[in-house]
Parts: sequence; structure tokens; C-alpha cells
Amino acid sequence: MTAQSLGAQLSAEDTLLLEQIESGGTISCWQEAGGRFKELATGILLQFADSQMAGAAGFAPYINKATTIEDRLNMSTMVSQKLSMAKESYEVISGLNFNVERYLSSHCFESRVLRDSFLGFSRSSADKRLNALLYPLEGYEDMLVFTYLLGVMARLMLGEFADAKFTPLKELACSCLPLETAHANFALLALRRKAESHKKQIELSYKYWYPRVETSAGPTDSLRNHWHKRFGLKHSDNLEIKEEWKKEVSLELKKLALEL
Amino acid sequence: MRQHVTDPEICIGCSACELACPLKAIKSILGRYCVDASVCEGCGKCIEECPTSAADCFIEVAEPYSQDQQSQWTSLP
Repeated sequence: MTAQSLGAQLSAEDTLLLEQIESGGTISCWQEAGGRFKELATGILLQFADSQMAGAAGFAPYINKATTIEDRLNMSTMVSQKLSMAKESYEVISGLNFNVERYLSSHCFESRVLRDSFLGFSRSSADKRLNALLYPLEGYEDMLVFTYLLGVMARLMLGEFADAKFTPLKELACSCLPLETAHANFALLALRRKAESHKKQIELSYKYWYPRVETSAGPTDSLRNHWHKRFGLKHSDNLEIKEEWKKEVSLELKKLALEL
Repeated sequence: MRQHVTDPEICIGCSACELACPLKAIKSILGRYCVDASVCEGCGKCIEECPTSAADCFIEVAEPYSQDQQSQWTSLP
């Protein structure tokens, strides 16, 4: 969101919406929304849905790389749940005459950048997935580290949206929160089992993924973040989410006696 | 020629493209965001701001469609 577009006058609907939110009200459907609100809420929903699609595409090949049948089941459940979460999120946007099939047919969620690249916050994809989902996985343990790091971030972000003043986003977040929590827990448990036998690989993957997943919290002092908060879509600053994520993952991974 | 338009099937009508365009080449007609081919210089600012990628849409045409023609679309021609 540019300063130019932010500086533009809010529509009458958006102004009314802000007053409604500031006085403790909620927004129950798209019909109550103005342009700015639609843009911001759709941005969140599409980022979530596209990230789930890209996650499912990236994890699918790892179902057959799990060593136990139980982990293969866990992996296939995770892929299936990611697609279900994407479907649920696209369904919310379809209330805006958004043709989901048309959108899906024009994006390739398997696409990835080169492993060594670092995008930071710059966009490199026509779809709206988080940048962390643009990097390729490299091996089963690498996938587990990534799943854990991003799973914790997703849980924190869904926790924000679970308090949103936009009912469809709040309901989506409440329904997805337990699934994302389970995905992060699955990865953490698997990492605990492998911490000794695959120590070096896990440490390398952690060093690779940490800065790439960290950007998922969004930039500090972001104008978009400011508007998300004003419209009741989020309540925390990006920096607060990032700090909470750093604290939690460092604490958990240090328990594995890794050199991080 | 290649004409920049917005995809009516995935545009949610939020006006982010219109606000982002430095040349005012995009305007809303009947709720559809239509690009004036004679003004658009292809800077891509609208594509950056569009939350659904609806502005990231180009079609091959012999003659560019007018904004009034674009406003009638329910899908791309």
C-alpha cells in the first residue's frame, strides 16, 4: 500500500465502518464494507489461502519421504487440511464475485525461487502467498524445520485474526487455529525425535529458514499494519508478533540442544 | 497489440488500482475498473496494489477496447 493510495480520501462506507469499529462494533458481511476495507481484508484472506495452497503443493512430495506409516498419515492429513483451509478462505472471498476457479487456474502454487535467493519483503509471485512459501524445501528434516517455524508464525497470526472485528475472518481463524497448531506440533515432535541423529542438518535448516520465515510477520512500521489495526482486522504491531515468534521458537529449539 | 485491462472475474471492486494509478488511467464505470489504453503507460503500480491480481491482466487485441466497452464485461473477451 503506497502513501499515495493511503492518502486518498476514504469512501463514505469506509468512514462509517471505522466509526462502527471504533465504537466497538463488528462487521458481519461484505455488504457493509467499503473499498479500503475490502482491499485489506481480501489481502489477508488471499495471502492465507494462497499460502495454504503453496504449502500443500510443497509438502505433498514429502508424504512418501516420511519413514513411518504414521508420519505418512500425518503428512497426508496436513496436506489435506491445508487444502481445506484454502478452500474455506477462498469461499469467504467468493462473496465478492471472486471466481475462485478462474483465479486458481491462472496461478502455479508449485512454483519456487532458487534455494539461495533471499527476497526479504519484495514480492516475487503473482499469487499472494507469504514469501517464505516461495523457497524450495530440501529434504525431510528441512521440511520439518520449515513446518515448525512457519506453523508457529501462522498460529500467532491466526490468533490475531481470531479477535478480528470482521466476522467471516474471525470464524475462519477460529476454525483454522487448531489445525495450524497441530501442524506445528507434529513438526516439533518429529524434530525432537530426530534432534540427535540429524543434529547438523536441523541446525543448517534452522539457519536457512529463520530469516526467511521471520519476514512473514511483515515489516516494522508498516502502513498496511496501521490500517489493519484501524479496521479491527488485527490488534498487534508486526514487530510484536515477530518478537513473540522469536521468543517461542528459540525457547523450543534450544531444548533440543542444537547449536543455534 | 497488448492491452492492459482488469479481469472482471477476479476483481473485487475495491478501487486500489484506481487509487494507485499515477496517470488516472483507471476509472470505475458501473462498478467495473476500466483502463484507458491511451493513458496507461504500463508502470505496474496498480498491479502492485491489487489484492487479487485482477489488475495483472493483459490481452492481445487488434484495436484497444474503450473503457465503456470494458465496463460491460462479465468475463474477458
